[in-house]
Amino acid sequence: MAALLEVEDLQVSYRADRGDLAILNGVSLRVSPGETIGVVGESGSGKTVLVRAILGLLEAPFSADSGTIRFQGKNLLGMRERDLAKIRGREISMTTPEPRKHLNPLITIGRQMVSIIQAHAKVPRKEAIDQSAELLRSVGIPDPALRLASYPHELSGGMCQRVIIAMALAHNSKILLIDEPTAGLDVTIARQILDLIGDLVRQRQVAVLLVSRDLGVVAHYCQQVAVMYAGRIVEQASVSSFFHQPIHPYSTQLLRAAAAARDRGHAETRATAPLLPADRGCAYAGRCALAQPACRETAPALEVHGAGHLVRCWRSHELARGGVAA
Amino acid sequence: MVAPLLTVSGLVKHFPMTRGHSVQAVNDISFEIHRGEALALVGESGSGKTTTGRCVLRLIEPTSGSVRFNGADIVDMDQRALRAIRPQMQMVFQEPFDSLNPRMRIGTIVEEPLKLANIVPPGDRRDRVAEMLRLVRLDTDAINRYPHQFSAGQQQRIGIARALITGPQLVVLDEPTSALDVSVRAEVLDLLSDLQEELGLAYLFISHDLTAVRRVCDRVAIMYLGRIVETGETEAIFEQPLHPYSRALLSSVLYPDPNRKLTRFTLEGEIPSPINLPRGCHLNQRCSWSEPRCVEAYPPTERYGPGREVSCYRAREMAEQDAVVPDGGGTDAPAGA
Amino acid sequence: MATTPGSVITIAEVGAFDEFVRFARRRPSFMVGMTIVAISLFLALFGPYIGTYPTETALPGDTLQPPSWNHPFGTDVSNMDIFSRVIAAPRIDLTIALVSTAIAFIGGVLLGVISGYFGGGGKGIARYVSEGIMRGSDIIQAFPVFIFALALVGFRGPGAENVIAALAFLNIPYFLRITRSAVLQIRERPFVEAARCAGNSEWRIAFVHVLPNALTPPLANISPTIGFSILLTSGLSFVGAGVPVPTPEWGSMIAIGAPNMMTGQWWTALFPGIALGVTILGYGLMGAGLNDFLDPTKKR
Repeated sequence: MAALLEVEDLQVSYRADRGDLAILNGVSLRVSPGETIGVVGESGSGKTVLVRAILGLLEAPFSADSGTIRFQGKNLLGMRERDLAKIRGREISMTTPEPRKHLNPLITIGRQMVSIIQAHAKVPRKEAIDQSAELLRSVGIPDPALRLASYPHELSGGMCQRVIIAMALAHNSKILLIDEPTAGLDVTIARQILDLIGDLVRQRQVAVLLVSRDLGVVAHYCQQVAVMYAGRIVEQASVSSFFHQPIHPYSTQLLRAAAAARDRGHAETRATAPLLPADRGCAYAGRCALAQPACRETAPALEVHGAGHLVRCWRSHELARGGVAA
Repeated sequence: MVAPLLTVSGLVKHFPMTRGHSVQAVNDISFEIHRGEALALVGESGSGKTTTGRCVLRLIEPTSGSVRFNGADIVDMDQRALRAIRPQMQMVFQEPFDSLNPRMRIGTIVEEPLKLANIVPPGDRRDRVAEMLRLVRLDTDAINRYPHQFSAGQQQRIGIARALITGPQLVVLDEPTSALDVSVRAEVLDLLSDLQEELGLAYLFISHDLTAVRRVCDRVAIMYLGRIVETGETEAIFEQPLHPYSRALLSSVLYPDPNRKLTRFTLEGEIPSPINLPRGCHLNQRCSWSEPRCVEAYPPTERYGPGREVSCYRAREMAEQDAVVPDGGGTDAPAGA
Repeated sequence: MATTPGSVITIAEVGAFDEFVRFARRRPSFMVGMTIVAISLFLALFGPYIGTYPTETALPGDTLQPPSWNHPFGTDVSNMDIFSRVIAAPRIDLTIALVSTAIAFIGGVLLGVISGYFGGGGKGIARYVSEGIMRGSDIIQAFPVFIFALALVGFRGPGAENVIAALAFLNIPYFLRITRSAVLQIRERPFVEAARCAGNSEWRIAFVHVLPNALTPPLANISPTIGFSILLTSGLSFVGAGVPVPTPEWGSMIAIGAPNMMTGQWWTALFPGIALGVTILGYGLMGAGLNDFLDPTKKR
């Protein structure tokens, strides 16, 4: 299936006093309709910057330096703000890890939703209100009329997240960028939200980029997974391949850390190096148990290992064969 | 039978608000912790677990109830007696950086409880600090540095060193790994486990992270809206949760294994506000097994075997139905409902 | 990059001083402010010795001489060299400003910590004391500053010590409020609870833990307060209520020279006026720059 969104070799940097810091260092991804790709990484890996870059929401001192973000044949990078504004919220929408903060505290939910609907469609107010109620119903909010008249602070965190999702769906966007949908939510509510997203994706066949720190979320709600470390994708594969046999040492470490082991595994006490891309060599070398001198010299490139399984590691072939215990 | 280290009885904490309302954070809970035992308090927002932790250390004044530590009731003590006991019961906080004074050096931070407790001569204190840092697997040259120079995982270990330096018998851990990245959590949890064994510590481990709890704790008490709904040994509860809320909670855990099917027992609706608690069982509006008696009165606590307690009228029924219709971990609704 | 467990990570490998220098270089206004402040301090120490003419005795010869090589700023109505007096004035102005600000700072910060930490729903006596402090502060701040200063000085008579006392008294509420609001925020932070857990008494927490963390806002305000104090001192001297006349002081010099401006001797009041304006500006710029430097939320 043709990809709806193609990110190719995206470079984003941050201009600091001391010089430029590479935040995204050549990221490439594709998302297809009906497919959810999970982007996993720890804080500082660049996941949220990626989402903002796609929507053209990066502000100084961040800047997208090179690469392409192709949507329907057009490159979103370098597009005029006027054209981007037509795409944002209509063709491509996003959600946020902090739903309450992204709602205007002084305006009712109803008014906010109506303004979103009317931003991209000439719809009379009455109709927009009806559409809003319908949207709220579709995200599982009972008694929409009451919620439309409420203010954000009157809603729980879970409900705010549902509202944001409803807003993202207002124009039947083809692509959803979902950024940490369950951050700060209670476990049982998080599960409700994730099930909701799963249902919506299936019904509407949207293409979803799901950013998360939680491998559990990725395992159950995504078909593809891309692991990011220090601004680079270090491994990308289908969810079944990835969890069956992760290759990159960082992926292995993530899985080990996340696994609910009945017996306590021995987590390695590796030093936590700062998450800065190295000037040369593999960014993960500082933390890697398998690092060799070559790893610190040159940064590895992405290599293919079987159908759609990409790994960025000099020792990936050894690891794939199972010859080395990571 | 050795007397428990900590006995909490009938603990209640209500936070008064304007216009006669109050936030009913903790509503009559009782539990025990024995020496060397790790008890988890698990729950979501509004469960009252954090408030309970602070009441146990009397960092907040309970509204009523008793907290007996080594036989003595903490709630009644005066400030001086309380300060004398503090070296015995310490806390590890949720925020790694914010729980450390940003303007103090690590050495001073870790030393302070020891210094104030006056149990060790001044000359030996620095040695103790170094020993503690080594115990939490940090370099001793950390002594002269400041908190901001460390990563979150390291900051949390500093907090642990500070909590342990006076040789407490009980440590209350308030979501010790929630603010840490997943890759760092495992290290810190293993450290906490090891320390518990080495030093014979008792833990009150407050968390919403069931995976963490399973790694560290022997027993679990599950809280919902200020009440304990189920208590038991960790493995027993994970294997077969009895209370409907426990089932929902456990079925919400997402294991990083796509082959492990998600179980379907989820609860409808939102968590009610602790200002307006539902009458009777607090879960009644969301529970598909709810009956009229669930609304009339709060269910009594029943024993389901040694160390296992549940507060639900229909738990036994649900367990029986599981046996008849094994489902891989939970039933949505009563048979024939 | 260190690889031993638990070793320290530092993103900034340079020291704080270098960071300061780098910061300063990117802000010309701050550099200007610092320069002016430095000059004023230098003059406060050495000014009276630099000028070629005595600062308090009249010279023989014509009065009101216009600027010339001998007298770069001209002479005034008593034929005193204005230049020597202008550069000698910082000594008295700065002494008054620095001492009064120091007193106000110490008093304001201490009271701010007490009222901020123990006030607002605390227990018993501490709460009343804190309320009392705040109301006292309200009363003082209710009056226009200059009028109040005039009244205080008028009460005790002119002279440097009285001006210091008046300014200190007037500036305390300012530091008090700034500190108090910082303290109110800080006392909610987890490390304060941790300190309680460690066995600290409330007083110890207030002064050992909270106070050092609440110092940044008041510290950032020292510089503009000094500038303002200089202005007030000059103002008081201008109306004759501050520093007595023969002592070189910009305000009194402006007062002496003002009538002369009407008759065309523009230099008599102008130079002290410029000196005063530039100095206050300098302290203001430095204060603004320091505020930015010390504020952890501003990106640098």
